[in-house]
Amino acid sequence: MTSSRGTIPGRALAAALALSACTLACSTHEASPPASGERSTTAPVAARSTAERGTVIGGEKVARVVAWPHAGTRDATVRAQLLASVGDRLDAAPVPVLAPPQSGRSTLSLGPSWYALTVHGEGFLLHTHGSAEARLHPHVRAYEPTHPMRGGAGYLTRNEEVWSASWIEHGVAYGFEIECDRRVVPWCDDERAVQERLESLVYVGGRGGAR
Amino acid sequence: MNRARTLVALALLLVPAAAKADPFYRPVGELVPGSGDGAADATVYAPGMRYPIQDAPSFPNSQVWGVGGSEGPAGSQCDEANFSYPWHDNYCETRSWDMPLCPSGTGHQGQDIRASSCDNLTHPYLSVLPGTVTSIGSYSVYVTAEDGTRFDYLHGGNLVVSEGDVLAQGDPIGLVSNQFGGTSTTVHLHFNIKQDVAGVGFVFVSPYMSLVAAYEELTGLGNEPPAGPVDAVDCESIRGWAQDPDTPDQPVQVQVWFGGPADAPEATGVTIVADQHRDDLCDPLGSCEHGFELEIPRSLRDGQSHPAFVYAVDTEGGSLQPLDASTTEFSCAPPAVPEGVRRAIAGPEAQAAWGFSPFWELAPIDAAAVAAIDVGAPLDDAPLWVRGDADPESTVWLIDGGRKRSFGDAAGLELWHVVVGAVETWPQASVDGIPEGTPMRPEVFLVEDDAGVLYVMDDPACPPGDDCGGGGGGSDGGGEGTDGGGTLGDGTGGDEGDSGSGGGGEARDDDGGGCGCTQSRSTPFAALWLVLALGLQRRRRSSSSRVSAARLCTPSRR
Repeated sequence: MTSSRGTIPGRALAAALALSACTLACSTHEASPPASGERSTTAPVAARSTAERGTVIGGEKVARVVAWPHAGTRDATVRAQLLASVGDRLDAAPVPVLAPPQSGRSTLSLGPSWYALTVHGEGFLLHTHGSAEARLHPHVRAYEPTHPMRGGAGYLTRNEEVWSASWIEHGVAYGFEIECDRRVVPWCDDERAVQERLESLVYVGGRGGAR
Repeated sequence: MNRARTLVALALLLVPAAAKADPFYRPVGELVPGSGDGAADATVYAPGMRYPIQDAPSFPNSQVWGVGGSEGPAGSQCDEANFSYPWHDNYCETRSWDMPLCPSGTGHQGQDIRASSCDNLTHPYLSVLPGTVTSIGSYSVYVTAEDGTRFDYLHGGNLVVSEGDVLAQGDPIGLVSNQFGGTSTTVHLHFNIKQDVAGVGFVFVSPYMSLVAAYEELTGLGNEPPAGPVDAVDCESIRGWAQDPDTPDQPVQVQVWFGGPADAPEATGVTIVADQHRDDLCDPLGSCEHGFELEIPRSLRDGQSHPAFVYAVDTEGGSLQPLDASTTEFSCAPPAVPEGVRRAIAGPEAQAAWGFSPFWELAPIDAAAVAAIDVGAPLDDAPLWVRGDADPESTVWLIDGGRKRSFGDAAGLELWHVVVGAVETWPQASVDGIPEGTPMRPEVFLVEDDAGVLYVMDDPACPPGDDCGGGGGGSDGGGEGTDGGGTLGDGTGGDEGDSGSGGGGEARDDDGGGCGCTQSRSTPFAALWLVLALGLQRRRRSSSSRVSAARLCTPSRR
């Protein structure tokens, strides 16, 4: 399955520019051009055995290479309020922890390659998740993000009234959820307000990065 | 072929077939008519999970398009039609928000599941895998498994868990209800699986086939188990056959688990269809297409002993059935590293875009040996495949460093994981005008450095200003050969396949170290024309690659 949505001509253009450079560099040694539509005359790949490759059940686990931000970029205020709530475990997180500036009852869970942080507000909760272990599924290839977010792009979705955002940052796959009690949180129906909260997430800690 | 094993397995098949039940589910991707465009994605994203509702029967189907739903037939949510088989997938049911893995790009995210009745706060739902309760909202519970996969349970009530609780598989969470953040919905469990998927990120994946597998495990569905033997295991492959007596003419799925039995945390499972023709099976089984031969993964060719467990999957559900002689072990020497340079692969998104599989293609080479290999230009973040428009069957090329590179034949396209539907059609003149580089190598050979960066072995690209006289397209390289036969259980072997390694890269060594570029035509005019043409091209995939001729063309030693 590959995405067929979106238009980004940049790579084709870059390839063409590279072609120009390489063509100019190599133009001293020309060979005959192939006729239009002619098949390649290059050697076929070697013969292979009848053994097949199966599909890895549940997807193949692959590590993400985390690009730790410098410790100096941690948000001191949010970090302090989170430390008060979840303690030193914050700095055991295997990936950079992104947290909302919102204060409130918080739960931090850690796995070997992920963290999950839930912060409760008045009538809503904010949940972030960071993962450094991806699954390769052969049918999932390249996808084009649809929403600009956090200096890059990702996906923004809302279903069952839960907002969910997904994006890659620091080499890590992040998710962000907002769930509201709509009786008391009118902003939860406002996409802009949701995006503001997404953009307000700050780096607060984790076990890597220069100190 | 081990005849004794075959006879034992045949004897197991000589039992009366049980009556066949009607399928309890419609195929994955088949939604209620008019409710959207489904994803025919048969992947079990959460293998080994338990069914989330405690007791059968249970009925995953649409709430919105079911009886009493806002888009469904008029009636009560308790209508018996909502509590009958077959199930319907509704992962990609029409919604208006991002769902990258759905064909339309939007969808429902998860699966609505009804219990055996519409009674509120009656039916327990459970943790499908061991995990930690990472969030509890006003109508949601998130449980994150050890591997980071998250399971979302929505609309439940009478919760018996708290944030931070560590749950075992099957531990109760709450009761199926209609909670919805201050309002109510129908009585059902909305169940999501969210996973870090290379190429996309942390996204909702289809839970449907995971639910099907879990329900088959829960209910048994009483039928005859499949059977068959493992015939042989060596450093080429694991070979055998399997047949399900309930569906004797159909091929069955075989699972091979490396490193431990099925679903063990440390084990990696692989599924393959036993559908190879074998003359020796035709008479005794009544049909011939039941053989399988699974390649030994290159990542396990490390000289160590690796256990393997082989099972057949019942075509009508139920537990995995170990094949005769299903527990085995192999030991194979590491393959020789082909000549050439190593080209970095940016990360999981690039691995996914190229279709690379470390499990099948990564050689377990010592990090010091990897460090000694020259570094070539990094691969683009995603491949750019093109063909000319003069003939829809014309050669598919990879555009790489400003050159076009061929895959040789259909097998080469498959080997390099080319998605034929994603090949771009360019004006023939543009394609003809691109200088030709070395052909793609006859195998995808990955190595990894001590920082965890993956590389693919390849030919060095053309240095700017080089006369490009070397290589000659690699037609005399002769391919990689094989990794060698190895000897079962002794850790030897694997060296005899080195001859002929290197493809196009090897040829260069013979003629004084040329760069290996093969020129087809290289007029600056054609290239400049192409710059303009490509500026108007509609591109299908995202990529942040910025190809630099200088960067591409300068091998360096790390």
